[in-house]
Amino acid sequence: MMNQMSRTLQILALLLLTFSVNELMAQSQDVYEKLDELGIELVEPGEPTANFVYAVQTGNLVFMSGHGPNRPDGTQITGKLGEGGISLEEGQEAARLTGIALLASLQKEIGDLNRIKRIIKVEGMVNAHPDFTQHSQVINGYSDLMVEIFGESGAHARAAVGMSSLPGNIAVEIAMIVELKE
Amino acid sequence: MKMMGLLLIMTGLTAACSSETEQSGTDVYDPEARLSEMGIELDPPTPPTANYRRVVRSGNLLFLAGHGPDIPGGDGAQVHGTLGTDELTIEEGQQAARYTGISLLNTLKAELGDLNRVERVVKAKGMVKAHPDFTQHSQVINGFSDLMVEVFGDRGKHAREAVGMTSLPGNIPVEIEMVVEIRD
Repeated sequence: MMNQMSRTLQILALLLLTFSVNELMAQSQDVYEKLDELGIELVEPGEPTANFVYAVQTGNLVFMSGHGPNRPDGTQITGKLGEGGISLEEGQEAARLTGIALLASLQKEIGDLNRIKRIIKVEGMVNAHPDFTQHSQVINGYSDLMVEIFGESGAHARAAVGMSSLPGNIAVEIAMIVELKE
Repeated sequence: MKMMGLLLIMTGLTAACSSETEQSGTDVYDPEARLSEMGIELDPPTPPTANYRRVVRSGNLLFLAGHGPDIPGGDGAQVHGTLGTDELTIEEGQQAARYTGISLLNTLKAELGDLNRVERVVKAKGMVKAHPDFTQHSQVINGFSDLMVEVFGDRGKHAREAVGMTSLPGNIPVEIEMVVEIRD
């Protein structure tokens, strides 16, 4: 009898814990407050200039097109990483700007970034000389931003690779798959 | 009272009918008919020569392997060369991307039987074999993207990546993989 009671209590305690964790998750910070804190402004993207779109939703997944490092003034960071090219820091900044461009497109697609449940998968492509080896450090510029903004939900699986060339000689191109809340 | 009930049922029916018409309105784009109009004939793809598949289904998504520019009616011959060099012009690159699109459609057709089962072309990754100074990857991959929209209409509009590679299997200038949403 006592045993049964303590077991019931244990289950109750567990349930309570689960609920409070859920509550905490639900109360996690508003994405837009976080963006404000970081001084990030999302500029609504124009329409693509060819027969493709920036994002396609299927079920609760959103597949994002490869985006590039758009500066707020409308120009892009161009150049290759490695020998005689742009610096590692510039590459990281490019990856961060690409992350912001992706979020701007995503917001246009889904209306509210608080709907994001998880950043699932990322392809980080670095415009690099054949001898370049620090692709991971470059793409960290993007990955750090996602975790700064979304916390644990922003932590993703990723590939970081070197490309011999990219459209318009942009330094970085990144594509991602995002899961939305039900 | 009976009349009222009948009227209600009638209204309900009309509403159901009109919503059905709307539904089929988005479906009038018949990719099979479009392909005939465009004079594109789809051939069954040859099986892969190694331990992979041309397509794998997960739920209602199809993940297609990277395909190359098989010349239509060319008995397996492919386009070769590197963009941004004397070997290929942008136009030839675009045509290679279009051929690659047709190869992908061959695989889709073999998998689905009827291309009307395509709900949406979700995502494409277009890889261009290019000189390090090449910058017009997007224009090359447009050869593929334009084909998808010609064949599927709005359902062909996809998210995409366009990138440059140092080398590709068999010296093909374009390799494209894609994700497609289907219905049963």
